[in-house]
Amino acid sequence: MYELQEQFYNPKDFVETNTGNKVNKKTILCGSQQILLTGKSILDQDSVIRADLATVRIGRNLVLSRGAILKPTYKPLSKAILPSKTGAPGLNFMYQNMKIGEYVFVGEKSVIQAVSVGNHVYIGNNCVISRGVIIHDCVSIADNTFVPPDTVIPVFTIFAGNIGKPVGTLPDCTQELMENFITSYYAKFLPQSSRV
Amino acid sequence: MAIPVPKNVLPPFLRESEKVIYSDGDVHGSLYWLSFCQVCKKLRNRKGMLEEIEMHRCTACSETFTITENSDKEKGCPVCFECPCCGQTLVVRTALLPLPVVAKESVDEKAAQQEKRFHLVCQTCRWSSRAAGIPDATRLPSISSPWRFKPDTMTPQDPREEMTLLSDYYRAVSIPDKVVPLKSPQKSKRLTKSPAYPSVLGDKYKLVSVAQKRISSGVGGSAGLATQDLVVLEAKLPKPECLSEAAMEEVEEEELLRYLSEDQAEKRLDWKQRLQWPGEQPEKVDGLAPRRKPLASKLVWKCRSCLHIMCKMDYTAQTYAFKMNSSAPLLVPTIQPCKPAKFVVGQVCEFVVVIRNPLGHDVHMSFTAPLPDEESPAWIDGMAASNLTLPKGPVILLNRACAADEKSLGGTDSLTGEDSSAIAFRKLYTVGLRFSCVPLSAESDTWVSFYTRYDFLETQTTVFTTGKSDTAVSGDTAAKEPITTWISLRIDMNLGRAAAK
Ligand SMILES: [Zn+2]
Ligand SMILES: [Zn+2]
Ligand SMILES: [Zn+2]
Ligand SMILES: [Zn+2]
Repeated sequence: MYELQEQFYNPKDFVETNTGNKVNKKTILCGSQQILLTGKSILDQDSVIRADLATVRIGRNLVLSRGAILKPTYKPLSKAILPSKTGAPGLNFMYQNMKIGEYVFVGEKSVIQAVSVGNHVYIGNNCVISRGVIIHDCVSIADNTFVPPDTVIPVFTIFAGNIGKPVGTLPDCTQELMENFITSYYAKFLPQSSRV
Repeated sequence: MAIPVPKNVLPPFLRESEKVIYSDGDVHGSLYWLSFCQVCKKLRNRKGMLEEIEMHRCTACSETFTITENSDKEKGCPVCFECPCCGQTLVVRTALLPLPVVAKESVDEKAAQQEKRFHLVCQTCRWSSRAAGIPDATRLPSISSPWRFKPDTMTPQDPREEMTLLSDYYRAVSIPDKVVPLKSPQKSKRLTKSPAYPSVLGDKYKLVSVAQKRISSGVGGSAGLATQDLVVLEAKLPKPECLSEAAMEEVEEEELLRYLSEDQAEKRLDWKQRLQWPGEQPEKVDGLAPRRKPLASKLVWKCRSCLHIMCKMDYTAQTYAFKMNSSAPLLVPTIQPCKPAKFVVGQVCEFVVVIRNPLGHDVHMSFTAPLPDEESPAWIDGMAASNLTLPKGPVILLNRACAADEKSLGGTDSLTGEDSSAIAFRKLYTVGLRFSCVPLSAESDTWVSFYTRYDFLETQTTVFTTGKSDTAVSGDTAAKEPITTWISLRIDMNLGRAAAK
């Protein structure tokens, strides 16, 4: 009997786009021209997208809870890139574009620095997804999980722990469950005016 | 109803899945973890399905292994290793070793002077094969491991030998620490000099050599004091003789544990057998060897009684697809209660039950209460509510496709031949029905049980491609007439705890 509670927000705090994205005015969107939002996503208060480092592509129906951070991953380079004209020392790493799939839920205060996150992925609260991690489709990451760098999480895996490990498999109907979950989360995320 | 993982690691939408339990004969459980055989028209749990491994894949290097290839690779990927401390995949590090200059006249001087050596490092906890005393490898891992984690092969030693090691270990551990307080080195020194102190125990924390000392000092425990202790301990430890052939054979399947349910595993491995099988890992921490990365397996599930494929996954490293998915929520209407607004002991409480039709045809569902003398099933861990009222007539659940274009059916409009009083709302292919009951106790959770009966139309277009080609042909000829089967399931719902009066 899992029922989501209706959440009411102040319409003054949110901007709703044509494609149905609900973006809180207190989100920090760095390099917003490099954020590609498909639609029906919720970006809640204090969430951060560091698209100033590299492009962040987001599929539809993303939920980015309070304080969640999306930050592109970086690739270490064997040689530093040539110093820029200003004379600053060159960097020995390079940021890579980030890809987030459809129906992804990111819990509160989670930090995501993955290369890619697949479709139908649930990420709990207070997770740390380190650099270079690849999360495939239909994956669930429990609350307070630390996923170490360069981990590849295969499909239908439940990942948990600090240091995170696979602890089980999700049922075959995960895709449907995750779609229902995100759709009802979106449907129950309502402006205060609709409160009866 | 074994949900194979602890509840707190599950995503929230699966956490409370056991509050609605479906049962069909001896199969029961949350719908999410069950499957539905479209041929037998029965719910199936994992025991009711046959598991066939189609392929293994290493999640770290994406290498695939077929079954025949994998017979000796059962233990994991031959190339990838896991950290013995934290379980993360180890990374290969290359080191260049300057060689003593022997062949100066060689063509490539640099190559002659340097040799590549490889060792393993954990990037998460800084464990390294060098720190563990494993010699560096001279080549990169390709088909087999170039490292020798153990002086012997990967196969365990003679079990008897290991048994004596183990019994010595436990013997030493169980001698109380009072004898050798290690807090201050001075004290222990004094104790060592004292004649009453048994020399056997001087080496207590280098456990393995206890046995050797005992042997070298003549008879076991000749030093006096400890003799009695040792005798008592010896009696408690299992004797190596009880390592019968049969027992050994059984434990060799230890790696199968991963695929076993808990109760099966308990039968297979009791604690005695486990003690006799210390496994591949050594007794001391510094001797821990990396493990091979376990392989993920691509599975095919078959119904045990009709042998039709129920679930066939087709996943690559990046994504997945189902060639066939008989997961129960895709083939059985899902029933979920909403929490009653007023839920007080002794009062009639109305609650809405949401039913969702996943099928491609309209479903006619009717509800019946269980017979009063029916035994309540074992999984109900609370009080059954009294005076349960169910919708009287059959209720129509619209199909997925049809519901989308007939918007007029939104709201509470009822369809023909339907008990409209029971319908709370109708929204596309979901229907909310009014149920009511009287909770009896505030001490435990209130449960509600009933039977549902609904029609399942088989449109014969699904051609099962499992061997029997004649069934597929006959299926084609009878394609126009859908076969209706009436399916009856028992539902038990946990409504949570009622408030006291
Ligand atoms: Zn069957
Ligand atoms: Zn591998
Ligand atoms: Zn480690
Ligand atoms: Zn009909």
